[in-house]
Amino acid sequence: MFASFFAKRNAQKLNDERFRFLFEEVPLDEVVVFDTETTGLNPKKDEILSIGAVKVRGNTILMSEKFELFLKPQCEVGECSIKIHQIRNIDLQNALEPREAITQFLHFIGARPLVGYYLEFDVAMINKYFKPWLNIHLPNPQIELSGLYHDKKIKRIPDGVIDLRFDVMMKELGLPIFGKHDALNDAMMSAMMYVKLQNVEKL
Amino acid sequence: MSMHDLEAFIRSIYPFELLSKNELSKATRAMNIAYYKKDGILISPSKTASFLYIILKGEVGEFSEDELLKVYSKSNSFDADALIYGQSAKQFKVLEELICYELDKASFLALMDSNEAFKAYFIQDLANKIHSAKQREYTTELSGFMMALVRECYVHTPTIVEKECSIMEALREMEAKKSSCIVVRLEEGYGIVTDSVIRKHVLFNGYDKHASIGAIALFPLISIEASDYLFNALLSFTKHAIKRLVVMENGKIIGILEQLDLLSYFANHSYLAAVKIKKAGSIEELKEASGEFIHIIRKLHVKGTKVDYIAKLISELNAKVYEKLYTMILPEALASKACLVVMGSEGRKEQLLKTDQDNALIIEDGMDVDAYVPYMKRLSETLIDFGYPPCEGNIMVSNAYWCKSKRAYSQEIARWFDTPNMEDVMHLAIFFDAHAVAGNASMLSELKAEILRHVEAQTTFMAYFAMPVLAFETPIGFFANLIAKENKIDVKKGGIFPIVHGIRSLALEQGIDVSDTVGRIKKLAHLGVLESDFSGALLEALDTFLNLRLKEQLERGFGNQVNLEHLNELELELLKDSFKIVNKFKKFLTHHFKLSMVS
Repeated sequence: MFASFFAKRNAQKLNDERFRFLFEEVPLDEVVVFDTETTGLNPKKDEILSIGAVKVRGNTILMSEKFELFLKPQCEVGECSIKIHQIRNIDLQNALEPREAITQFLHFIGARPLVGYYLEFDVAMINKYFKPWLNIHLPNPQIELSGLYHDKKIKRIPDGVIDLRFDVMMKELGLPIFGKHDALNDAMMSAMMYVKLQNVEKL
Repeated sequence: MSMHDLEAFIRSIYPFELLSKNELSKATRAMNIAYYKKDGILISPSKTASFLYIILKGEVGEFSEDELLKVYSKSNSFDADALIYGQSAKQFKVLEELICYELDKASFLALMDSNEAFKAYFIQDLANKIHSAKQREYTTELSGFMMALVRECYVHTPTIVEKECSIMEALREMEAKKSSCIVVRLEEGYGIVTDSVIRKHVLFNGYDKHASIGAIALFPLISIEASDYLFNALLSFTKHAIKRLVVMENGKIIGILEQLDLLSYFANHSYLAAVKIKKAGSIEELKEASGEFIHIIRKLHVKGTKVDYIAKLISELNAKVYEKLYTMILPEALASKACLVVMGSEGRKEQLLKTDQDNALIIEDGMDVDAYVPYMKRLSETLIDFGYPPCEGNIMVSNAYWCKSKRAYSQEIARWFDTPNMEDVMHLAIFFDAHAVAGNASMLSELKAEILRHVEAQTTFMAYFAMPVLAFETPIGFFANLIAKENKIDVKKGGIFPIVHGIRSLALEQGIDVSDTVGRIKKLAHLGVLESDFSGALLEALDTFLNLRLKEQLERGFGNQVNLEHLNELELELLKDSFKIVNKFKKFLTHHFKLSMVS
């Protein structure tokens, strides 16, 4: 009920007019699917290491306009997280300063809706950099893949417990899993799930 | 899929593997992934193509009006024609929901412009497409038998001296280096001094052996580049009637190629076997020589020689074995009054590995047939001992039916045409393929001429003769899928037999006096009975079947079964296309011989 109001309030709070494009009209059938790799799971203290994103127009995943970059962490990357995402300190030598990276990302997404798997976390991570700087939170509409999947699955098994693990969803949707897990690759696979989910009534 | 994975995936697909690293990464950077629902139309006469589609998952059917022509699945790409010609008479429809890569038209056409081989692949027609795919298989293996390079052969160390050097000194150096000749640096270039030159000048003409060598050197020197084909070296030896060639690389002499080494290089293959057969003094020695054929076949196959050529070579060798054995076993007086013929696939020179003997003896009228019987029995037994298994249908000289006088054959031929049953038709078929290997060959030609006269006189016979072409279903389904039993397909029943017998029927009808299928197809094309495109397609299809069968046989023994699990994507594709050609040929024959009117 208050959604549009809060959106306007948010827009009003923007403190840098160069980013007004975040509130402009977008091509109707376009979304951006994205994923991040981070040093940990706590948005308060962990940092983003890389962002991967692709645009989807209709049923086409625009790989030719993909987005991938690395962010310079403010503190040394710990051993535990290196083991998970396999981004070592040395891999970040050509990484960008967070502000520069986020600026590029914003220009890539514009006002398009964002799609992702457990998107809330990724958006929270972006907001961690974004909010203090531009005084607003990321205004883009958000589409949660596991939510889309759940809603279509529940039509077939109304009382069932639905397995929402990433690989399980990929498998259930009959999509090929390829390559290693990194931000861009996961974004690409998420994009496939999104396109597929747009095209099925129920699962 | 990371860019790296994507490139690896695309590179694994023919013809994308022809692209350079640069071209490939340019192509992958331009690609998008798209999703289509079942029954979606990608290209149609009214919907021009704007992408080359490469399937990641799902299936697409190519339709002409309502007929399904082809099914594309993972790793297949389509449709280059629609992009090149800007329109398509075909419709491409999603059969199973599809995830595919899309390469836009402009990027695709740019790739074609920058890469000739890539372009060539897409603009060739089916027969050519099959051919280029096979060509590629060949070149990835060692270059062909005749295509070996000079540098692959043994090259002797050269002795190079200045023209002022004394003959004795040069000889000493040659001795030390164990060279076979001396290369002399002259003002105008290089000259050569061989043993025969020294013999002529020093021994006969009394030239001073301490004088400088330059004066007796032969000039100019015949040379060959190390990167040239051995085949050209062979030509050069014959043309100049010389025994050695100087091998050059980057303008420098790197060695001497001796004619002897070249011959022994080829001898490792077929030459030696032929000599061995010729020189064999006993049946034991002949057996040993014939035992080496399998190695030759294996080598030639690995080196990518066309199956047709291997078969011809092996048939020649087999014929030599038969001929030799015939003269060894039969007394001269009997041998010259009869004719030993090989029939069926051996007669058509399509035999590869030693399979069943199909042979017969034609004896001159007036000779005592019984006198031949014990020798023919021995001939069959010896051949069995050599590893040529006995014929299941007992079509062998040891069987009285296939060992009789010329007149008796004439009568039998007349009977075959009179009221033929299936067995008679097959007897006629194999006899029509007969090829004389020893004795008086003219009798066979006369009998074949009789056959052709019968054909002319009895036009209705041909339909009966051609009928077996339809005896076996082509193992390809309505959806252009291969129909296999436990993943195996009998390529003889499904492909080889219909082509061979269909062509034989046409050859018989047209009175073509050639006994091998390839020769017959070419003759039929020449006569205009088969369109030249179609004859090309038949040749390629036949070679595909024979090749796949040979590969299977070499790896896993005898038989006509090809296991689909052992085939790669390209081979499966070729097999499908080849069966489609077989179906087209059956249609043609049904119409040509009006087969639907007999049964």
